[in-house]
Amino acid sequence: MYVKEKEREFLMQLEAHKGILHKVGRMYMDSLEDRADLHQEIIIQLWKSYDNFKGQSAFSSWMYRVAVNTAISYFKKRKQHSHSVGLDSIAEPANEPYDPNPDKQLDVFYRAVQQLSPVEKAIILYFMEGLPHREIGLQLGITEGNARVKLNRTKEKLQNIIKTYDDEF
Amino acid sequence: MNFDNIKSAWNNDNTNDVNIPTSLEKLRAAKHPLDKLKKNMKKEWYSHSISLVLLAFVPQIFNLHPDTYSVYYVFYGMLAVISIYYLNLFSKLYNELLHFTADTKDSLDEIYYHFRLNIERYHSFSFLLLPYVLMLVGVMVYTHYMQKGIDISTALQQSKTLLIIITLVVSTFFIIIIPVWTSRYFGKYLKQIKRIREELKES
Repeated sequence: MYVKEKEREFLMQLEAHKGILHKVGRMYMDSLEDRADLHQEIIIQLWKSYDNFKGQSAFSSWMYRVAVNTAISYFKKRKQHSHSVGLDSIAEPANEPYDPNPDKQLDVFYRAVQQLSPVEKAIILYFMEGLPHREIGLQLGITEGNARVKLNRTKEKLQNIIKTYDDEF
Repeated sequence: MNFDNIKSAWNNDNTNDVNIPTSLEKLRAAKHPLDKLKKNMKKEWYSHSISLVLLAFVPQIFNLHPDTYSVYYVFYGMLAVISIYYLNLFSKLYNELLHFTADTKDSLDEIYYHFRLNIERYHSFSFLLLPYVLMLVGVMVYTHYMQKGIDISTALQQSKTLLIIITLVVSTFFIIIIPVWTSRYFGKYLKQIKRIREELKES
């Protein structure tokens, strides 16, 4: 009875924070199939760790941590390409005309992100969520200064990748 | 590119690709390498237990000479005690693993060191088997000659070179093949984890 209650509460929390699964999935996997697989794996790991969630931090912070740690260390043989996507495999962004539509910009952003390393993806993810350098450092287990340096480098790298698309914002 | 301009799109992006199950029973089994490692540990616990029971009857199954029983069971006893100790110790350790809730660096460190530990466990197990296998070869050779009515000291003189070659081949096989096998099985994943850990250290 208690387990069922706990499960229901957990699933409600997941539903309320499904945006985190979506964002982590899009950052770390470039195909729908791999993304769905990663979502499942993250849900499993979240549930297995749920007893350790003491409510000392927000559910979303805890969920981000587990989700990112799972995504970063979950290497599926089939999806090796997702960490090192070549330009050839990216869907012709260079031919796309400038589009001020934020959704379109977001698509280009996600495509460019596929060329980042797993750690760089985590840094950009936390940055996009509005976390300050200190919080990014705490989530990753690195110093605030290290987080700042890495974020600046990653943003620059991302800019350069997007420039190659000839699709500057 | 101004990242702030896409933050609202980022926050309002369609989440239809996420399917939250109505029940956790509908989820598949975990596929994370660490979970696979835990499952393998569990399987190995059963297979080692069955093997230990079967190995207890090797002298009877292979009709070994009764003179060799005491030698065989001394080695077997050592193998059994150390195997049970290792199996129980590691099963407990892996069941207690609480990964992913720590920060990313600690989480990766935990995964990395447990994989390293597991590799060493395989090496220890394999090297532990080496004296047992050599002893088994020895008592089989002894039995062979005794059945032919040849005195053991004469037999040792006759087959000295063969015994040395067998010892060298078996020892070399264990020492070379086992590390190659563990490297092939775990090496790629460990390298990936190591690379990410190193990336986190850089500033």
